[in-house]
Amino acid sequence: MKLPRITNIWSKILENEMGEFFSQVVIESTGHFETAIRQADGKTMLEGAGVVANMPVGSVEVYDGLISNLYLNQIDDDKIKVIVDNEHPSEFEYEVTGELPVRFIINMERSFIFKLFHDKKIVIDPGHGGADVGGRGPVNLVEKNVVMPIALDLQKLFKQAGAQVFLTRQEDLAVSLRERREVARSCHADLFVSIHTNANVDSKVGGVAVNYSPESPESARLAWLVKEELVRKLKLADRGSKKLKAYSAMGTVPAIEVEVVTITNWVEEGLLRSPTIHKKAAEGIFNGVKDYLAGQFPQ
Amino acid sequence: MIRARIPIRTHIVTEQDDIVDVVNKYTGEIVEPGDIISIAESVVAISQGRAILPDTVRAGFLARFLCRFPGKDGSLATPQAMQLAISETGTWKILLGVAAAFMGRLVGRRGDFYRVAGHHLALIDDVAGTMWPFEKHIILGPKNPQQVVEAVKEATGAEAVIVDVNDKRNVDVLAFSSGIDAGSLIKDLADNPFGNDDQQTPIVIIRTGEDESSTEPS
Repeated sequence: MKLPRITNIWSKILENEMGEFFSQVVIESTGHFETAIRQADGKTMLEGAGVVANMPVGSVEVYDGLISNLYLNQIDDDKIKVIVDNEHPSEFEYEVTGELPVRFIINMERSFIFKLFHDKKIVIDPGHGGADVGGRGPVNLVEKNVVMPIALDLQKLFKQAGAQVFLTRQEDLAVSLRERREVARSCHADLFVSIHTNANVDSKVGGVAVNYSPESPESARLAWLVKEELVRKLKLADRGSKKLKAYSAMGTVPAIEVEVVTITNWVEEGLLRSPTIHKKAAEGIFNGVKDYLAGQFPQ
Repeated sequence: MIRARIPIRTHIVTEQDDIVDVVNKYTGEIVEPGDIISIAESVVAISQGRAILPDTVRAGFLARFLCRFPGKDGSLATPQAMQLAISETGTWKILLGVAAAFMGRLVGRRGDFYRVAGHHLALIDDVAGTMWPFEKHIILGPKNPQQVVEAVKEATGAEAVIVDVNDKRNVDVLAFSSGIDAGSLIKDLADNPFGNDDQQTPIVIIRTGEDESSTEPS
């Protein structure tokens, strides 16, 4: 008799009826098989008997703030193991639905992330605006426009996590640095995250950089963590982090300027046309801020 | 009617792969007679070495000039992509397409460029049109899609289609194997080839036929 085969594994963030967000891991198979599921050492493990892997064994990258990777192993001729690598503790619920494919579903609650964000006030600052267009791409994109969808995607992620979010501009308007700073001051912001793109006269230069306020020692840590997570999501060159003198006036608020990509680069301007890339950039920034709030240090 | 869709995850397909071998490897133990194997066009193209890094394309004067005219958010707005389009279809055909597009615009008609220069040029995806690790490549349309679907059919015993799903989840069917009833099924497929799930895999097995559970016993 043919054994059922695992054809796909994937994960995404969903919202339940109570408005709570959770990470859903789905293992798809051509038929039912026996499963046992348990947690140990920060991992959630599902063992299956009477099943073979149809898809390649190995890892599937997730990085949704709670789960880093999923691993599929064939541990015996008819036994598999799926490991969910949790970055933070999470309780889970397990269900099996569907017929073809049968879906083995692990729903993981994200209360750890909610606890990190729920009392935080975060200012998102979409760079430039109005007559100040910022950098220009070789074809037609301009910085003031491309930072907006990224800022809005990021706002969504911060709000999902429970933070209060303030945008320095929602429209195509010129806003001075003083006005931007004033938004942070008046709301007693815990963090200030400015979204920009890099520009360079050499259209071959590309990559991600995150610069930081020299006034707050925590800014450097935040910048480094955001840069690492952004590079991981976008898989672009790492242009590093440096102090930004203009941000001296930000005072003690941890403040960073994220240069998501380099708009003057032919390829990276092209990337900026894709809503998928906007979303990935927002996820990378979110993950870096999450790492910061979780007290991580650069490794 | 479509009874089930089984998304099939594969390894990352590259130009080292033969697409027929890949499809056979990942569907061979699952497909049944009557199934349709749906293959994403970009994956077929990538296996044929048609994913090109823009840095490796030397755009000539004509490409640099012509890339200023198409819609900026379209796929031929960079000199490199336009150069690849010229190489694909020939200078004269491109120029005829441009002339047709110009005349079309005068009467408010769109799409004349591709009608004259070739619909296969509409399959060129500029950077960010495909998922990692090919998001920095320009992906041309697949070559000989009809031969590919017939070869997949011969290897697997199932029917095969090559489809292009764009950002807006519209679907073009590029080729379908000889046993497929082009009427209702293609329409079903075009409406919703990958189901409602946004997790895209390079291959989806589509099981067709009447739903057994809804059939009354005779």
